[in-house]
Amino acid sequence: MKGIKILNGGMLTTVQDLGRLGYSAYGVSPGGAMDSWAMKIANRLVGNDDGQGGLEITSAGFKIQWRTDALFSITGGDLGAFLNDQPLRPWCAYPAKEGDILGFNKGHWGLRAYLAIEGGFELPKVMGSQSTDLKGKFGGFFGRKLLKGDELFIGINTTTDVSPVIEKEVPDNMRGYDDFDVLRVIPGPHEDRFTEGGIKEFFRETFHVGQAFDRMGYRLEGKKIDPGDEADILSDGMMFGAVQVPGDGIPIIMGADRQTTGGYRKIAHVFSMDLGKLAQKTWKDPVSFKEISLDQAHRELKERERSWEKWVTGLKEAIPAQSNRGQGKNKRYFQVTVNGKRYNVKVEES
Amino acid sequence: MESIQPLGDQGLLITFGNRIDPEIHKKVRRLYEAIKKEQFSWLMDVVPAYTTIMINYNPLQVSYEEVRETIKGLKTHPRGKDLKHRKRKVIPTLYGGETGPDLEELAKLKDLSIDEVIEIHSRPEYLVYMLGFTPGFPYLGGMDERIAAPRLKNPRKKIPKGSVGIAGSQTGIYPMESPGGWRLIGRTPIPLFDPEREDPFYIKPGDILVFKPIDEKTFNQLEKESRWHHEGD
Repeated sequence: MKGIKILNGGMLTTVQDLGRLGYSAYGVSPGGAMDSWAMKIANRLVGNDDGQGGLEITSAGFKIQWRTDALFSITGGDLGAFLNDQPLRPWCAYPAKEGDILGFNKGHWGLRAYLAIEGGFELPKVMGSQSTDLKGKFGGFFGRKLLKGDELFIGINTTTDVSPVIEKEVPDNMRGYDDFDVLRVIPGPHEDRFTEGGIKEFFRETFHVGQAFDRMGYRLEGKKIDPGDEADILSDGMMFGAVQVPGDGIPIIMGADRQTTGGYRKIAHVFSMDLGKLAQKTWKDPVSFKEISLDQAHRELKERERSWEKWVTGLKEAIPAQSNRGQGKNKRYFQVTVNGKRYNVKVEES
Repeated sequence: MESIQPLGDQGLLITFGNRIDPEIHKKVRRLYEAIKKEQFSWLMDVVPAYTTIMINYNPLQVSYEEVRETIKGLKTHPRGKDLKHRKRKVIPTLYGGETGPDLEELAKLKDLSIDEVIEIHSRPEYLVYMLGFTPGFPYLGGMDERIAAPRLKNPRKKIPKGSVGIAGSQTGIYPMESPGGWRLIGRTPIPLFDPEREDPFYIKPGDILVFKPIDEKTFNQLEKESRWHHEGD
């Protein structure tokens, strides 16, 4: 079989992509990877489309066996990945051989690691996405987390415009975790419903991740924000990264599996580029908020895409394609052009 | 519209008012339908609610100002036919007994007979203001205050799929098994949410819902058929 077998499901491992968009009006959470930049880059490293499904691995413990040769990448938090006995650095793609064991045995940094495989998984899309909806029990692998004994089939990579980047580590400053304790936010929309003191406290205070945090949201601990008179609003739509302040004055940051609507005031929204930092936070990690303007946020988003392109182009120019692919292994990746279409080709030497 | 505000770097909120009102909701729905019709490539998601619409856009494709101006431009579109043809959907409901364990207590609490509660609950036409909480969960307006009652003090860990309940002056239906504190007065055998269907949702924002009392035999029969019951169009 062309796939992987789960030897240990770990704490919580689910199939995720960039989310099930377009169904929030019917109460379906978009879901998707909590650290969507890490998921995207994992896919790009193996030559997949950005939106291909991969695995979101929460905490160390997850372990699989490869039932086929494959190209995979790991990004996100450093959960101590190893291939057989070889430790692997995250934010990098590696080839695996049939029978190899890939495991994550120690949480060195962060909470969530991402595993992408060239070709993704042979799984149906439910409402346009492979993301696992744990609450609704649909999507992903039978709508549930992966368990020991599960076997997932690997799909065929039909993408022709992304070429893999093998055994080249994505530089630190492109991972999105700089200034880890600070989440940049765009204020609003209900900031006028808080007292001036309440807003000041929100930006001055250092909060900590409380015990209640999961894919639905992160409840913080720390000084209470003056909730003013009216804590509740008429329920309205909620974005990933919305910072709600209920009547008890303790902020909650909404996650990928949030409810689609909520009835508490939102003091601010976390800048989407900083949601990866949120996704890597765990119990007791400090969180403070800093304002960023909408214009600046949009500039940085575009700049991030440009630096990625620049890095990839730089690699291609620095190293001839063939020697870079599958170094030291009897397997090579090529890109060939046939009738004007580009294809990624894998050649195995016998 | 009253205001448009950014929701972070990928969203914006359009507000039409601040109270639950069918007239305000009409404006929400008119713009929601207009947005859906346009099929903007930058539009990632849209959530209509009581008085607001949330839009999730792709900032790599479009700027906040462009989205705002595009939305403002849409409001001047002539009224479509869409709103004249609200869909009326029937929710066949078996009231009381095992399927509605809180009906008797609710009747006592409100000093009504069980039949009166059923009659009061199944008479109005309810407006679906929005869906949320779980896939397919409708927030309905139009319940008679005579059967309004506070939530249960101890929420249930598991409420069966299809349960019809009351919380405060709201009534709703649980499309899937979930925890909750609503008082359960009945259950519908028809599926409100089925991810395997091409269109997984029986109820849509802006629909009109009617509860129709049924007996146990009909309940069992409909449960087997698991069909949807549209009326009008």
